[in-house]
Amino acid sequence: MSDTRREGRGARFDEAIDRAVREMLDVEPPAGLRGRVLDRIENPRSRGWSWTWTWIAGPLVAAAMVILVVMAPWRHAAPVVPAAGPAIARVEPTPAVRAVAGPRPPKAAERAPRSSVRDGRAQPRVEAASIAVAEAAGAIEPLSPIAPVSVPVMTQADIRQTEIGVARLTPVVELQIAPLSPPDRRN
Amino acid sequence: VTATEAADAASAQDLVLVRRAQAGDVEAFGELVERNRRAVFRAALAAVGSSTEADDVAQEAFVTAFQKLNGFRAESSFKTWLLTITWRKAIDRRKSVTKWMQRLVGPAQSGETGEEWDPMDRLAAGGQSQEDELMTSDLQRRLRPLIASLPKKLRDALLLAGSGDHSYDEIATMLKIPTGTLKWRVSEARRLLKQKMLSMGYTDV
Repeated sequence: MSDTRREGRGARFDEAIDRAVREMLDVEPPAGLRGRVLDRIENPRSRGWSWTWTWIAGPLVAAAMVILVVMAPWRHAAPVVPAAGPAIARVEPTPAVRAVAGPRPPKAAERAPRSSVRDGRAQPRVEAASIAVAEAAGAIEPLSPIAPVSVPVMTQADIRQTEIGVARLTPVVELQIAPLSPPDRRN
Repeated sequence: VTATEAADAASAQDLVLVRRAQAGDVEAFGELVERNRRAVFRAALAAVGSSTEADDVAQEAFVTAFQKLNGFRAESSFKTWLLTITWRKAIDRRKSVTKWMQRLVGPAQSGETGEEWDPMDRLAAGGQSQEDELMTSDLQRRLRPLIASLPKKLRDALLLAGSGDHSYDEIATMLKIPTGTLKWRVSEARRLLKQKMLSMGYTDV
C-alpha cells in the first residue's frame, strides 16, 4: 500500500489528531477571571500608576547609572594632595635662606624604586603622591640656624687706587708684500 | 436548533450586553467576560502554551476590549472582535516569552539544535496526570510533540480549528487570512502529521 493511499484513508490518524488537539487545549480557565477583569477595570489606577512609574523611573535610573559611571571618582586619577603642606613650603622663606639652610630633599619619585610600580597608568599617580608627601615633609623639617655674616674692616690703603702706566706705542713698520708667482695667483 | 442559529442567538445577546456596557454598565461587561472567557482563554492557550500566561493574556484582552468598547461598530460579532484582540495580545506575549527564553537558555544552546525555543513545548509535554498518561494511547502521546513541532502558522490553524470553540470564519478573522487559506493550513498540518506518523511506523487502519 502506498503512502498516498494510506493518507487518503486517514480515518484513524484524523481521529487521533482531533483527540490530541482537544486534549492539548482541554484546560479550564482559572476561576475568578470575571472578578479580576472587573477589578482591573474599576481600579485602573493601581496598575496604571505602577506602569506609569515604571516608564518614568526606568529611564531615570538608567540615566543615573550612566552619570555615576561617567563621573565615578575612580575614573579621575587626581591624587589626594594635602593642601596645607606644599603651600606652606613654597610661601615660607626666601630662596637664599633656603639655600643656606640646606639642600632641598630629593624628590621621592627619584628615590622610589620604579619596580614597585607595575601598572603604567598608576605610575604618575604614585609619583605625584610621593612628591606631595616629600614636599610636605620638607616643609615640616626645621631649618638650621642662620650663621652671622662677618665683614672685614676697610682701611685707606685698601681704598687708594694704584696709578695706571701706559707704555709708548712703537711706530708702525710699513709692510712689504712680495708679488705672487703665477701659480700662486691662480689659487 | 442548529449550531449557526445558536451562534447567531449568542451573538445577538452579546450585542445587547455590549450596548449596555457602552452605556457604562460594568456588570453587563462582566456578563460578556463570563460568556466568552472559555473561548478567549483557549485561543490564548493555543498561542502561548501555558495556562498561567493564557490567563494573563485573557485578562489583558478583556481589559483592552473594555477600553476600546466604544470603538466597536458591530461589523463582526463581539466574540470575533474580542478574539482578534486576544490573538494579537497572545502573539505579542509568545514573541516576548520566546525572546526571553532564548536569552535565558543562551544562543549557544539554541544554536546546537538549530531550533528556537517554543512555548508550545510545554503544552505538548505537560497537562496530564500520570493516570491520564497511562490511559492515553501510545499514538496520542507521540502526536503531541509532533503537533508542537509543526510550523507555527500550520499549528495555530490546527489548534484553533480543532479546539471546537471557534468557527472557521472567526479563526480566519483572528489570523487575518482568508478562510480558504485557513482551511489549506489545517489540511496541510494534518498531512504533515500523517506523514510523520507513517514514517514512525504507525499504520492508518
